[in-house]
Amino acid sequence: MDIKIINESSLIIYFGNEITPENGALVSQACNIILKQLSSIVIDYIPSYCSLHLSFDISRVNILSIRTDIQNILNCQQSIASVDSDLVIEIPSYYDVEVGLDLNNVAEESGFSIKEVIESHSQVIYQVYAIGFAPGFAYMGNVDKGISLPRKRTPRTKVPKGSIAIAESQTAIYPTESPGGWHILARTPIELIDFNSENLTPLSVGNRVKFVPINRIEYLKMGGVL
Amino acid sequence: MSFDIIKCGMLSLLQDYGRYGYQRIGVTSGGPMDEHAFLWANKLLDNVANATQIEITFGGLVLVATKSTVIAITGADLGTHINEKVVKPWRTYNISVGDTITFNQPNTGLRAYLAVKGGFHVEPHLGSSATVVREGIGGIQRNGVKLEVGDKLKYTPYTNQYFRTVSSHFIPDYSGTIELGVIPSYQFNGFSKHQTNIFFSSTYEISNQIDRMGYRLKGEAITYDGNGIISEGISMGAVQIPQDGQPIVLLRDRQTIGGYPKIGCVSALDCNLLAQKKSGDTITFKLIDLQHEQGRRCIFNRFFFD
Repeated sequence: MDIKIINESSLIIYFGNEITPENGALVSQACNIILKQLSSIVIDYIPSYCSLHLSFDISRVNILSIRTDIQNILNCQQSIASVDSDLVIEIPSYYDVEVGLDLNNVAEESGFSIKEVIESHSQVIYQVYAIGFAPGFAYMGNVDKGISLPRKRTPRTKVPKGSIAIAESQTAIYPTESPGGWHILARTPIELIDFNSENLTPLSVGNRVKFVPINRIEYLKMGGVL
Repeated sequence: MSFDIIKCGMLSLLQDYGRYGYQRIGVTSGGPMDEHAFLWANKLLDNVANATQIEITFGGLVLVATKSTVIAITGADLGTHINEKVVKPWRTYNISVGDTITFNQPNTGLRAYLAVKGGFHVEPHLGSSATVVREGIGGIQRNGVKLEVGDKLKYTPYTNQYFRTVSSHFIPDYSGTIELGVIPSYQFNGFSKHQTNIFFSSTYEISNQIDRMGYRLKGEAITYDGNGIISEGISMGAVQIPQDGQPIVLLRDRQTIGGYPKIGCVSALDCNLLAQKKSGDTITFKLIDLQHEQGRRCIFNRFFFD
């Protein structure tokens, strides 16, 4: 663990330099502990793959003394972060070339059939490593090496809302229509960002997620748009 | 009981002090690009520091008052008129029914702030009125749309008069080349001595790719020799060095995480000066001490928030 001051009001804690479920779990655990103890001075926080970025109200505290406090808080924490959790969030996913705009291409590039690509993507339990790029855009991993592809050379100018896509070892869901260079396999009918709901987004960093295949009728019944 | 928008200009946005606590789900903070000018406008009117104002970028905004009030104008001098009369920023003006306020185009600086006594009445969106166009959040309709012709910005009428101005030594000079203080952080040690020397000794021009997310600069390219970076949280003022080596200073509406190397952070107070710069203006960077900057920030916060 390495705590680095970034500027007059923020610092970042590094827990490693590799994208692994273990480092992701360390980030989530530290985040919970720090928020429990320092919630009155933390203005904002950004958990990511291997790091936790924290911003403080520095009219009340000194950034150098906060660093010492955090060092002490985290050193006292004896328990070892566990990647296991009972809770798995299920994302209903309509896998079909109708909405999975790159299914054919991914199958071709990986040498699998479409059915095998879908099986590969929907069998893994993924971990949410970071949320960013756009509100509610959750980066999850790790995608099976067999179907992993680099980002598209030319990004699409419009990726439909709810698109489930992969790039390298990661998978994500586009919460709103936006440009994007990931390979689209499926679409979910559920909302990934709703500024008017209390939870805002169903996913948080550290959550475990599974994509559950649904058919066209179920997709439409759940409010899915084609 | 409102200011009615007759012309909306290039980019006029409702802003309060910003939206905090949601970076964890990728929602940026927003808020005033020049918080120094913003906070002065509220202070001149005895408003709370967070009261909602209009941030006017470049000009072109025309509004008419339907009830009397007092306003404060701070920040850039956008060739502003009240009715036929030329008015300067950094002071209050008493407004009567039917008065027309016109922001033309910049004489100095880029962004002006218009505050009204008591603040504009806007229903907050995730706890803030700050308009973030890219995210479709905040503003008058709570959907991130900038101000448009026909919008009515409501306020509580006020009939007493104010005659206040900011002392000249608190008014920044927005002209000329400015020197921005940089706190060495993030991947600073991954840049060679030679590269940091280039960065701190070069003059950079502001490109035409500038917006509320960040300012892309043009000048000597900087090379990063360090290891690859895993996407991480981004602070206000972070100086990102993309593959082409042209620095980008990230500002209020920045994305929350990113994977480019960063040579350090421009102090938040100096970001206020940068936000008043236009394409073609020039800047330089200097290395600053964290402790010193923290002291400066503390004094600033006490002045405006205590």
